[in-house]
Amino acid sequence: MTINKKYLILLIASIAALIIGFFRITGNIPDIREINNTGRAPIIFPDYSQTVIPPNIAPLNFIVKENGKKYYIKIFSARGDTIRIFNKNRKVKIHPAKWKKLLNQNKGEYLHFEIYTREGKGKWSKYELVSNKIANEEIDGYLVYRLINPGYILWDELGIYCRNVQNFNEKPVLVNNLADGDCMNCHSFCKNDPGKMIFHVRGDLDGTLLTRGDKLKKINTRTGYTMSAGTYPSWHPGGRLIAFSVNIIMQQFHATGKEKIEVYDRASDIILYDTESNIITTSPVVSTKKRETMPTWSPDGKYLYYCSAPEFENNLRYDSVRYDLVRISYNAESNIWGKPDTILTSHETGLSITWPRISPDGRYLLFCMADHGYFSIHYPSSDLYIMDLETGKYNRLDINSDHVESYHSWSANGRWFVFAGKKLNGLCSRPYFAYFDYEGRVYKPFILPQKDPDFYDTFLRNYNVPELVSGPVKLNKWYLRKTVNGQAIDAEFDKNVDLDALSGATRMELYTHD
Amino acid sequence: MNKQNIVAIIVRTIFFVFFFLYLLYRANPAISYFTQQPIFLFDKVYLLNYLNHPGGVTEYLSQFLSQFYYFTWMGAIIITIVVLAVTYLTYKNLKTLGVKRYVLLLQLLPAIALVFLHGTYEYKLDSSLVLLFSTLTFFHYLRTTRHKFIYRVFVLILSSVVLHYLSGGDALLIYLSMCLALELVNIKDFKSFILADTIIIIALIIPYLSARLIFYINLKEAYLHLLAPEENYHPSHILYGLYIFFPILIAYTRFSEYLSDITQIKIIPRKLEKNMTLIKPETAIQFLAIIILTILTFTVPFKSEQKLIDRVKFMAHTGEWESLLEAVRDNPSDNRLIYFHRNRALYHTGELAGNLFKYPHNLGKYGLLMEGVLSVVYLMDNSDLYFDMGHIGSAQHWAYEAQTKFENSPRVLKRLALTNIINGDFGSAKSILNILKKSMLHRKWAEYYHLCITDPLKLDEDPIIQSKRKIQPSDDFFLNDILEPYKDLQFIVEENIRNRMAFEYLMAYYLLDKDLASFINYLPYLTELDHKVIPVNYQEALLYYVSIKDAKRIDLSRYKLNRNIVDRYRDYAGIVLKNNGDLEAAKDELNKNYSDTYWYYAHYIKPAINKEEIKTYSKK
Repeated sequence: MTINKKYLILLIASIAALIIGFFRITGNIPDIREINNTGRAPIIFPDYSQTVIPPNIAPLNFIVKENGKKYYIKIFSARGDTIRIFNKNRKVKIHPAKWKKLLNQNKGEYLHFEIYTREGKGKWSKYELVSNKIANEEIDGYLVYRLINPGYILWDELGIYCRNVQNFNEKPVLVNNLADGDCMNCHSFCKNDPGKMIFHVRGDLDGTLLTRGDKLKKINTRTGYTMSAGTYPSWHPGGRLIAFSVNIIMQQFHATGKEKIEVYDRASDIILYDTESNIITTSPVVSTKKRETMPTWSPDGKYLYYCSAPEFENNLRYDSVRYDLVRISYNAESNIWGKPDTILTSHETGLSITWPRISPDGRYLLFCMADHGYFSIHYPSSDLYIMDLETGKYNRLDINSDHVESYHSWSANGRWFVFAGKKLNGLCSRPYFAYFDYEGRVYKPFILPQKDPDFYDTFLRNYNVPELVSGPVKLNKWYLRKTVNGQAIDAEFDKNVDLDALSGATRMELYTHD
Repeated sequence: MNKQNIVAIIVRTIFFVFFFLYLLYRANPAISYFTQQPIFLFDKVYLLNYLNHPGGVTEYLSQFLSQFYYFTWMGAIIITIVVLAVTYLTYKNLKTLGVKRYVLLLQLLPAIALVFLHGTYEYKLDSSLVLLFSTLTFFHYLRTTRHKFIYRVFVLILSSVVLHYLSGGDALLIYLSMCLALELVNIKDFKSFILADTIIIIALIIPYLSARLIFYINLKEAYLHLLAPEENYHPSHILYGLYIFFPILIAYTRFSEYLSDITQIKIIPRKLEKNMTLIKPETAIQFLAIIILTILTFTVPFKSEQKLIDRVKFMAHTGEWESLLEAVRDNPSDNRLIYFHRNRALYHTGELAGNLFKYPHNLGKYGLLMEGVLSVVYLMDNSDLYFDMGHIGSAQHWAYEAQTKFENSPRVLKRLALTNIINGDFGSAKSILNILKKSMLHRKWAEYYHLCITDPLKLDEDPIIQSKRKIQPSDDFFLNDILEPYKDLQFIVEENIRNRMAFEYLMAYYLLDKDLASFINYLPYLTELDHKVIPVNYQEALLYYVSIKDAKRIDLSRYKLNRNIVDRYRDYAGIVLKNNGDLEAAKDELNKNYSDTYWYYAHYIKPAINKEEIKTYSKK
């Protein structure tokens, strides 16, 4: 066999180039003997510093926001190989396998970023170490959220997505071009189980999608006795019942000021949906003239917590409406309700309470408080608070910013929670994770890492309702599409409910349906 | 090169020179740019958004190219080149298929259709590129006709998969229908049947599998892509015709042989034959057809109302108010958007208060404000109006709604950036500017405003920001900008009477709504503005009010009524009295001299509007 000489040279040259290139990428270590100590920490974006990170989190890729023509970063911990990155640009992209190995070897230890920059041919500038602690406890591996533009009435493309937080894979659960362009919202899981999920489709294909294991069905939770379809959900830990609020939701837009929109209810009540019998029930104690909303179950399933505001009045100023935190006992076996017990009043706090979520061990209650109302994702005044349910003491978390801190959910082990925050630009909500230790202390949160650390700079969609789940949502998209586009099963209203006793807005006489 | 070829080259050259000039001086790709708002970002996420569905690559290329429509001449060059390429490939395909008759006409027919399509401002370059890539793929498929069956099947499947991914279901549809036409008209043996069946199976299976297994798209998107109408996108019938034309063209190649036999029948007397050496009948027919069709396509799109709307919107955007009024005068229309922008033009030319009724108002107040409607079509028009007025909250609200539909539209993003800067929401503004900085066309603009955010001195010097800040409302209220926008104007005027535009719009609203009581209530605000005289329409309304009501005391002591207007009103009333108060009887006479007055409007114009247009916004 003869080979053309030209091709042979070309072949050798290309192999040599590949080898050189490979070593340039992986093994090039700059000569940094002459160093200028800056004596300060470098500015990096996102701010991955002095935080606690899960041992199974995706690489925290970041940008060094310091001037330089060359960047050298060492990532190391107590054990294992140091990761070395030599860049000519500011983006630091960490090798996923090396990162994973380093984190797994160093649970409970500190992880350090040692950053050097160099302008031209001068000395290298060295910055103080950027350190984060690697927690012993993992975070749930997946995060489910809705991505939507920041418009208020209209929408176009939107979808519910599932992101593997251990790497950068993101897959749609359902995008709305498979659902006739309808809106989708309020996805919720039973105890972080991706196999027990619900979400609503709103529009021509109106209905609530419910999946339990392999079974998927579409329910119409509107009945002749409820003012709306089920809205804000919470799964009973038993996996059979789902508490919903039913709401007559209004929205108005501000002409000026930091708040752009006011979302409020003219009325709201609480209902329970039985996923097995397909029956909706309620009780006069949670369907009063007051506005009951935002239900959430205690992990033992014995109590339902919710928010409650006085009855709607036309003349009442929107910013004077504040919600109290209430709980009520409930026996899922006998369907017997207790009496409402106010846990925390807005009178006491001077603020409005919303989105109560109880830690999986049942000890702590994480919630939001804002100046008024309950739709806190639009209120810059919305902050996160924690309450020790044993002592009843609560406090504002140090992690809050001047912008919105809102919707949150716990990881299954209770050591992590995720919340939607707008502190990056005040416009779009982003998912932040925070570590929650055994003493109830919350540590500095960090933003969901992205492969391209520039990502958030230009991504103009909101991450709505971030929910941590233990595995990927495995719904077959075609099956889901078919179910979404199919006929909804009408839920039945419980015949045993004393309709006359429902003094609240639930009674059908008060509202006409579309 | 024979004479026929030379003639063909000359005709093609003339055609494309005309085409280019037509685009440059008449169609104006800059208006297409404004209508379509393409943006191309040097950004990975942006790229991935196009790679995640079939046809995305072609859309990506189209976005890159059509951003240059911003410059009319570049747009004209790009479109001309693309259409030229389609024409060339059509010609090559015809040649390969051995067509000898009517080649000139046949190769130019797609170009003529594309002239028409590119003459409409909504038509996107994507569809032309789809056509280009499918004819190109077919050209390569044609070259396999002498290869083995298996090889042809392999090429067919591979090219279909690649084409479907790169250009989408519509490209695959054209390509495979051309292939099918080719196989069907050339059926020789059993293998030909198999190949034809294979083509049909591929056409059915590839889009289905891509939707079912790979991409998050529905079947309509998988099979039809750009051919499927959507909420904001309605493909022209010409486009459908064009897509059908290609398989028919291939089928024609078979029958052209018979056609050539027929046309070779000698019907021309021998005496004339000598004189026909230069122009054969076939050539003459082709010339004639090309000329007629070209003239039609060069002119027809300009007669459409949509075209006028797009032009008016463009002129409003660029502030060519005088030209806008001229265009509206020359092309009377009762379209709501045209009224809307004409009224904006009246304000900007200083005629809204004085000469409002010199123009028709068949839609009354509905032509002034987009009351009671939430339509995708009007979103940015509303934003523009309120931005002009310094009603920044509303301008921003509409722009955010627009952003949901036109996610990366530079016009929308710029409005959002500016309104956020005006409101002091620099974080939001920065994020939006960061997007624009990734566009080569808008980078400078974005960098300038980024500098404004970081440098307070620069911000203080910016005339747009400062002028809007001066007149924007400072007190909060809930917007009524969907159902009752005039209420917002009331708030603004009551808070800041120096907002001249809000005042004039509010007064025009009351006049058009024939709500004299409210008009009179706000008339005293006039004294706070710099009007030296009471505007003509206001005087007319005042006289009318005084004559029909117990005159409420209004302090307008600074002003005097114009003698001429008072006399005119006396004459007007005299004519009505002459007809014993019968307005119908007096109409013709009054129409001659007083149709430009408020009185005539109040008496005779009953605004009519399509109920669909004012219906309260739908769920979406």
